[in-house]
Amino acid sequence: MNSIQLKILVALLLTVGLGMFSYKACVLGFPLTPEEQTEIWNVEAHVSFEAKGLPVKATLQTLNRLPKYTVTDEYFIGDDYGLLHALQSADGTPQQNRNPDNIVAIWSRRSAKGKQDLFYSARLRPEQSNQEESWVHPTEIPKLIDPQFTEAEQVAANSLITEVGSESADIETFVPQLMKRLMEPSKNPDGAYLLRDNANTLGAVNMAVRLLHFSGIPAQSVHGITLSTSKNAKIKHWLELYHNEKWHMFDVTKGTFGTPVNFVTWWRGNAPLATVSGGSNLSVSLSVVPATVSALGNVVDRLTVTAPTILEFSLFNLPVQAQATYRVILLIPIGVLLLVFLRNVIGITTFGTFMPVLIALSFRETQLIWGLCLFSIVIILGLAVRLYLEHLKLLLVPRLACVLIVVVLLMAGISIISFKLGFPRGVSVSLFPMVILSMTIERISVMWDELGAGKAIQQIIGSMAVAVLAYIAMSNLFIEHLIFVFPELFLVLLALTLMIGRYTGFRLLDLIRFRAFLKEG
Amino acid sequence: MGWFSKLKRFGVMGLNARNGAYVLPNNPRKLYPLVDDKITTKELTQSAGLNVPELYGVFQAQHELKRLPKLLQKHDSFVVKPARGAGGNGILVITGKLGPRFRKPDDSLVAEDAISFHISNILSGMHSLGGMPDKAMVEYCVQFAPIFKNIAYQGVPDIRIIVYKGIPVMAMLRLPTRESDGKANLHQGAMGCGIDMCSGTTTSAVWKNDNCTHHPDTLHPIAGVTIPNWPELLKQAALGYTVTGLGYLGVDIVLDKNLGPLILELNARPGLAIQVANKCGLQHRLDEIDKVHQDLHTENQRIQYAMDNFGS
Repeated sequence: MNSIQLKILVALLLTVGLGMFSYKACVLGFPLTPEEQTEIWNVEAHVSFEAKGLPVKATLQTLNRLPKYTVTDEYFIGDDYGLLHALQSADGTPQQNRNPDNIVAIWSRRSAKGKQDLFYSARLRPEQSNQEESWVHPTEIPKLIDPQFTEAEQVAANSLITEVGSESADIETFVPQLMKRLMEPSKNPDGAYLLRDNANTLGAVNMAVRLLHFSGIPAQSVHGITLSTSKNAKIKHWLELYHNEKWHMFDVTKGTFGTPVNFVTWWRGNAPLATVSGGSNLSVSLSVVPATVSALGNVVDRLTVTAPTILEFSLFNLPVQAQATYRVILLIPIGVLLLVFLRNVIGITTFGTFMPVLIALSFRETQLIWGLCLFSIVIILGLAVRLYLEHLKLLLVPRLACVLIVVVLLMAGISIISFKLGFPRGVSVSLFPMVILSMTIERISVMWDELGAGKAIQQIIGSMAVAVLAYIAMSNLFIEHLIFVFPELFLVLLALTLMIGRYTGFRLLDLIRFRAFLKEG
Repeated sequence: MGWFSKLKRFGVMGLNARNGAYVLPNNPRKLYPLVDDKITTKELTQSAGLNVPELYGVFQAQHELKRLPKLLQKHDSFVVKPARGAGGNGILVITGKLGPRFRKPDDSLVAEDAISFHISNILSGMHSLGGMPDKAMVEYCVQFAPIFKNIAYQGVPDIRIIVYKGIPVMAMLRLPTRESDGKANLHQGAMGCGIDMCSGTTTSAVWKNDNCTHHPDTLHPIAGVTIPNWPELLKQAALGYTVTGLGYLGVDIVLDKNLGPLILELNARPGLAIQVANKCGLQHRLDEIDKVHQDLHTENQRIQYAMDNFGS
């Protein structure tokens, strides 16, 4: 009955612990290693224009709905300008729904004169730090819309499509041919007529979308930037076509089909990047600069934007000082689990149950080698004092107090001397090792009396070895990181401890205890 | 691991198995005070008609040490021990008096104030589990029976019998050595000899975890010593279960020259070296007892079962 209960409990703890762990690691993207770095991108758009002293309204498409990226730290900088956001659909009409194609920033001012500079900057954080790049296709297939050609345009479009159609075999060849004609309208009278007012790349792309809808292929344009260091990035245009139940991506700038790499969507549809009314000479310059941040900080900053409730109930929400404390406290169970393993599965005996873990904790503050030296010196000197006190026949508690006082004096003395000698480490002692040391000295001396020096030294070495192992485990950056970022792993620790708690098999050192049996053959 | 399966084949029980499979399920925590405090054990066993060493005096507080000189005047030999000591720690054996001083088994002398200090240490909890304040008891020092004269050195040999659900399972004779300072604890260097459960005759021996045929100090062979009145010893041990209710129990008995078997103490978590001393694992015997223990109702039945089944 109990054993079933235990198994259920262990299974439950393991499931919850590992489940939460893998959710956080795989879905939320918390890094598994402490030094993991992530490339994030700072994107800045600089809008400038000449104002004419009239009411000014400038719009700029903003980054949004990026697959695999989260936009954080968005700043809109414009002196004395009012700012407002508008949601728009791909065709530029205002939209109220929650998944707009574009979000437009609108700066406005009653009157302005001279050169105006407006800035938009945003930070792109990858959601998966180490996942290979592959394009995520839009979820919604664009609806076929009426291209709304005038009669003359319709004739030109028909003629263009017929011409392109006769020179191509399938969509893979049709689109490049079509684009080629639209990009070089001077060689093609139909194209030239269709693009008569918008003979630029954006115009050509928008016209291509209309022509594709005209020939019955749902398509839409995508405008964005390639993430690579650039002071003067260019907007790249892609076409998304849905044909034969498959998405096709066409790189307008290069004139080839392909999958966008390192490409982030800025906006969709026929709207321009920026518009201005009440101003002229509009120009937009874009810069893309990578920055390397710790992957952990990236996840935390990203989640602050996308899923604040998860962080609300995590250690990251604590004040920094408390976080630092917890970084240490959370390590104690690691040392304790190791101790449980060493005692119950290996069979090492130590002074006190958790003393080695506490000693290991104090090693964290003194560093290992110095800690071992300090402890050895204090224990040896303390034992000498303790043996002397034996002659005075003091009662137990006052004697313990005497040892404690002497230990404090010894540590202070060592600190002062090593500071004078120029070893700053000697000063790095903390509060609690003193009590631990006094208790250890007392226990050692009692054991020394009763079981002899050999047994006592054996136990000291055992305790120190366990303390060193615990220190190594507890000072491991990887473990510290895992435990702090994924505290749910404690449920796994708890499950393991429960399992060891019902482990009734042999300990490794039972082999030595019962070696007489092994000799028998 | 071939080694582990070998131990398993011998039925050797490890520490984890003892704690997890026998001590925890069979010895409810609330019964521990009965055996943890030797004064309670003494009262309990005495009222059940078992033989125990006579208690000369108990010290519970430092100021009571004033009574010590008067007490020591009356007795030439005695043992001072903590009521809640574990593993034989803190036991002081005095075998005789030499003027104002007292003689220990190894012939060294101690003064009266050293004994007083020893008691005050016991009272502060130096030897008790977890350092809790303790009581000190001064009791009769057993005069060991001549039967062990050749194989005991400077101390009193005692007999440890493991009792499981009232049935004696395995027994061992613990012989003090020079190294163990007259104490009979194996981890302090005493020697353990296996005992045939049927006849009460010593068989093999182990010292410091190694097989051994002769006593290291007296150089006499160990095997073949028959403990007199063996069924009576087994009965005393089996009664330990009836008195305390502890399902897994170690009973320590000494043989006194004049008084016969005396129960020294009961142990709720007896050690495992008894297996090495007997060259036999406990596991198989415990498994057999699990099958039959419901059918054995009286002490005599239980003892008979042990003698019939666990002889070597």
